[in-house]
Amino acid sequence: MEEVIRFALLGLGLGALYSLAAQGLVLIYRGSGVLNFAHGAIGMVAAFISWDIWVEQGLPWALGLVVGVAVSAGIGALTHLFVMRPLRRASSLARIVATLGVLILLQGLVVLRYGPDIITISSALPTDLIRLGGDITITADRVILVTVAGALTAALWWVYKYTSFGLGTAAVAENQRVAASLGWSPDRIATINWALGSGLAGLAAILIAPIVQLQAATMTNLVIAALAAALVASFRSFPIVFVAAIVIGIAQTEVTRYVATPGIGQSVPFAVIVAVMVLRGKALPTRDFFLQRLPGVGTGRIRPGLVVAGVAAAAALIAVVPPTWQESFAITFGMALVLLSIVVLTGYAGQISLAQYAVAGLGVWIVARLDATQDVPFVLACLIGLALAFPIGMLLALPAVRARGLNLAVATLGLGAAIELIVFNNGTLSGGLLGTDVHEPKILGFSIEPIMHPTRYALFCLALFTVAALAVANVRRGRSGRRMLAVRTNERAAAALGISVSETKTFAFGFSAAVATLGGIAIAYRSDVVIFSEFTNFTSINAVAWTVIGGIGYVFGPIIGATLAPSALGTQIGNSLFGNVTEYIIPIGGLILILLLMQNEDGAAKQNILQFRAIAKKLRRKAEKPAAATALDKPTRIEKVASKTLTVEGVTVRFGGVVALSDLSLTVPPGKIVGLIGPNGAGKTTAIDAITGFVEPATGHLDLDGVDITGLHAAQRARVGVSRSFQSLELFEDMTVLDNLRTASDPRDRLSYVRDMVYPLTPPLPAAVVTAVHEFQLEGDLDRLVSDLPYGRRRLVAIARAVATQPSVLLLDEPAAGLGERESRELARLVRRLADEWGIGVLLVEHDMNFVMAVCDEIVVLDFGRTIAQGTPEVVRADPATIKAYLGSDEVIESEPTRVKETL
Amino acid sequence: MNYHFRRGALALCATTAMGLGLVACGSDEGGGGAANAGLTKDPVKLWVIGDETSQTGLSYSGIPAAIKAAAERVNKEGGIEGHPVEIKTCDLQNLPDQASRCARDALNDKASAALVQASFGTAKIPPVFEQGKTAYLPAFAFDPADLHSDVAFPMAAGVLTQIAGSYIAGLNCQNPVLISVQTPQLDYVKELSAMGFAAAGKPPAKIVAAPLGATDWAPTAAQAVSSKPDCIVPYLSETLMTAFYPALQQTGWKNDSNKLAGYQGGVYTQKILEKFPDLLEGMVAVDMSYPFNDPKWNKFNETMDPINKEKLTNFTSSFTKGSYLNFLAFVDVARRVAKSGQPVNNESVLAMFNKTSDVQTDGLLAPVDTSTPWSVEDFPRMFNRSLVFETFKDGKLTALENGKFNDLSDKIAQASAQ
Repeated sequence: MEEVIRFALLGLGLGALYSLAAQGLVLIYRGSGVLNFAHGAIGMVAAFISWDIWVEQGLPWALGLVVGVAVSAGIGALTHLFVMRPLRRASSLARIVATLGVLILLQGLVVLRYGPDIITISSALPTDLIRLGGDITITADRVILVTVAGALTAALWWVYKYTSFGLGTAAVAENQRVAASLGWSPDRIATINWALGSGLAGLAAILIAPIVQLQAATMTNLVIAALAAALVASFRSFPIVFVAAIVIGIAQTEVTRYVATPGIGQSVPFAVIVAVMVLRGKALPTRDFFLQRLPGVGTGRIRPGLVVAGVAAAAALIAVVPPTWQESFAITFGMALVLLSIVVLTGYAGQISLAQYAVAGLGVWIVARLDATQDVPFVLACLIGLALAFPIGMLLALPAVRARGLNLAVATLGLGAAIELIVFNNGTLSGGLLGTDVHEPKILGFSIEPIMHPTRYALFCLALFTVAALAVANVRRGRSGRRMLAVRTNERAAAALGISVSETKTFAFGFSAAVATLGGIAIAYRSDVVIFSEFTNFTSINAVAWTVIGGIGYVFGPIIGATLAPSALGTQIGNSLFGNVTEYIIPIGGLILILLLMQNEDGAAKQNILQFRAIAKKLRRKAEKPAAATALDKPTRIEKVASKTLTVEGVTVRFGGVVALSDLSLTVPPGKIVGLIGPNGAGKTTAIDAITGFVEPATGHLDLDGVDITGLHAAQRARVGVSRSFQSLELFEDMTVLDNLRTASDPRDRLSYVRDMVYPLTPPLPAAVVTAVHEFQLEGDLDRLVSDLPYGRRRLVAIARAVATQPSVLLLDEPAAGLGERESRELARLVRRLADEWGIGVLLVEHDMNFVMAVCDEIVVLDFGRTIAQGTPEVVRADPATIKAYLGSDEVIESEPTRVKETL
Repeated sequence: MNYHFRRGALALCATTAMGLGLVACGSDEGGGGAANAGLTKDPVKLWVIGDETSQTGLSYSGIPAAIKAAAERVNKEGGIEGHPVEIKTCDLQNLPDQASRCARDALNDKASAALVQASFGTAKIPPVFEQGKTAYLPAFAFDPADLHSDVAFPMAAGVLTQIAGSYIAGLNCQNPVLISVQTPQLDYVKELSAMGFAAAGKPPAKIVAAPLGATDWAPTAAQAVSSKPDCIVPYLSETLMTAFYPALQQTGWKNDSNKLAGYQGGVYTQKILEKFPDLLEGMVAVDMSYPFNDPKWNKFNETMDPINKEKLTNFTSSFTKGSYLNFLAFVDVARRVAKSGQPVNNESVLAMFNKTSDVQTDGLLAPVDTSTPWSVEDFPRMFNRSLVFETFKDGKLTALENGKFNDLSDKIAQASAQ
């Protein structure tokens, strides 16, 4: 027991360190909505400067402390002003990657200035041993650290709860626009919080350095434990951060003491992260940004001539260059494969992963161990490795199903660290000091051993990349690609169309793991010894950076990005031109990343493609004919949908103690339009969410033609015929209108995940979709990006997309919002036709009373979640309760609107 | 903003590129200049593959600079029978890809031989040199690849010092604890230490392995002293020792005379001894050669002093000493080749190594027989098996038994066979 207490006290000290680091992270997040992955690196700069002043220059420690903290605060403020503020409208991915760029740049600069070696610093705090009884001891510096961490926590809590600055921070965190209108400057608030948070990082690092030693990479690695503590506190509560950090520190120390397996103790923060994901299962609270966009995505179209020419040119180059250049080609193609996996996972599916290099290492671990321990021939080992990489990748998707965005980035960062610690650094699993001895790789008896045959090996890597790139491009053009893009853009909308978000994410993780494994094989088999510890977490972070530089949505992008990897083509060219540039390549890469993100977050590939097209156009003798617009023949008749009646019985929805919807009952028969009206906050959208599976009712029952659908999730309800549109449209903005419709109408078969890699099918659009295109007059907009359309057209696309799923019941949430009178009338006619000619049952939520009265067969009126009236438009119009609650007075609708049905 | 931003970004990038060119443009050659005046024969190329820069951490830096300085001294003294020694360096940068690349570059340059520092990924080097039939001399001789390759000729006793550290602990301690790190080499360390204890007729000792990565060493130190050991044997690098020892001091554990054993005297550099004199007082350690302050190292120290002051590099580390001993061995063998009238190239140097039974290293090692691999299956290329025991007393590292070279071959061979 004494030993347990003794180690718990040691963990207390460690936890205090984590707390200091985590508080700064929370500060910055609360103040600006940014998860700062460079937090540890900023602190590290402060620690080095402090050491330089105190030890190297011989000046007082306090001066070093003050200067160090001031410098880190300054770096934080500058980072916000010159990096994050210009990116405030960029995607969350871009903002995360920008902080990674700052991390890479700072770490690289510190190494250039101070070297990469570990520096041991004596503690400026007293280290006297304090005996608490028996053999239980603690040193004075740990007690001071815990006290400082606790005091800081209390101070932060007080400042952010009771001062106007704290209130301003909370206001900006809730709603920037509103806060700005009340006189708060979001930029100033954010800058101050960045400065304060980064100053805290500096303080933490200076105090931590004597305990964990000073090295450029150290503080960066500490951020994982700090992230875990911050995550437990939802990036909000300072006291919970403190407690969580202490618990993590104690748990880590105790586990390390009693569990001998290497890496388990250090993986405690990762375990905490996963536990939080599983238990909470929803994203971090998102900030109200004015506009968010995603990086551009390529079309995946393959030009066979270009591919053949490119591969031939690369092969010819490989054949003639010296062996060191051939090795650079092999490294470039190997790393390009890893980056290609990030294109799939992050570019297409929108899942941020900071563990892809570790995943590649895991894949090659399977291959190499089969090769070395079971003498499995190279090709067979690779095939088995690929086959197993898929399910392993799918397993890794489990946290992703319940997490997204920043949450997922944190989880994957921890995952990569855990894989490195538990597998790669475990001699028993990895083959020990020497790594794993593998056999000479052969393909059909033909040796491709890289030392004896560097040309063949480089060509092998080129072939691997070519095949993988073609497969990825095929997937992009196929159903699985459209599903991934839909999930990336808008998970809710994807689910509303019947796309299983979890299935799509799982596929993305599995496929990307397989592609990454190919990269791992290409990288690792360049030697007859596979050293797994080279698959480091830091390289995973760099891999994301390189992919963004190249173009995270483009198949061609990884080739560009991979040239920046150490010993790849970029280094080789740089060394040839300038001498030894390798030590500069990392900080240069960080700088390029930041600059590129600020100018063009789509990466170099898109720019190259546009430039190439411009050049090709100029070189051609004839003027380039515009590509023919997509043409759809109008069907001769309209096919009715499957007739199903939606019955809602006694549905009640509660949010905490608030009853948002109480005992709602209604029926939507085929071919009828039921209106759902009520004042703002009456529960209309909640009703639609409950019917379509986006919120879970506390009580009640839903059935579709007698089949109970209460237990089905959103995508399943869409598949059985209940579809919806959204009040905020929620279109797939960076897809064309045609792709939006295809995504909605694609069959949901699982075979397409496999088939698309080889031969993506593009079946003709169903007749119902073609009809919807003509009905909504979208023929001329099919090839246009949704984001380029005017608002009224986008509304029509949203409804057409919902119709494209061929629903039996369609729920429309304020379809006429923002439309002019003429457009509203046209829309009303269209909705009526959907019911009368297609047989769709429609539940319509609208504020436009004329629209509702003109088009609905029956109306249900809600007020404060309760049904206060139900009946035909005439009955509802005259109902006193409705008039009072909804119209606000004894006012009645003066004239009866012309019924749409009568005019058709 | 875009237009101005682009201009600014372009300017920044152009400046960076110019700076790169100015800073990075530099020769990687050495061992030439005025020192070569009068040496008219063809230069003998020796490649030195070691860490000079890195973004990810260095084992030891400064070895290329040290060997260049040593080569300049040799050239001043007449070179290798009139042939100047030309040093070419390749920066490992602690990257595994660099290791094989450097080896290939050395072969392409027709190096007579290469000195290789142990670093991340240097296990990728032997196959390249085997293909090119070129001798290489690893600085430390710990890696199994270096201990089995037919073209490896390490002068350092490397792995033997690790085994001998446990041997000493086995002889003198009742309850020793070994300290290591949770890395892929941990199992290997366990095997070596078990061999040492077996040579002393004792069972393997408890090993406490710290988590990988710079971390809080207090729990490791607490775990180490929890079983109340009478000896602590750190299997740690110099850097990790400077992290572990303060934590050990904070536990209140006291080192009585002879209670701290070191596996490798070269790790106990000047820096360590100056930092922890009280803790290390009475420590017994094993080294492959004399303590760094022994007069026999004067020539080396005089050669390194100017660079030491300039680069603030620690030249008392075992890697640097090992590399220097390798350099002396290469010079000795190359001289033999030159005296025999053959051209000094990779083939002749390799052949001479394979038939020389008394390679000389200015008396810093016992004469080394590189013609006969050792009979112990695990370490056939461990040619130098003579060790020096030393102790730290009254602030000074002193060789025991007047610096006698102890050959533990038989004891270790016996233990290895068990």
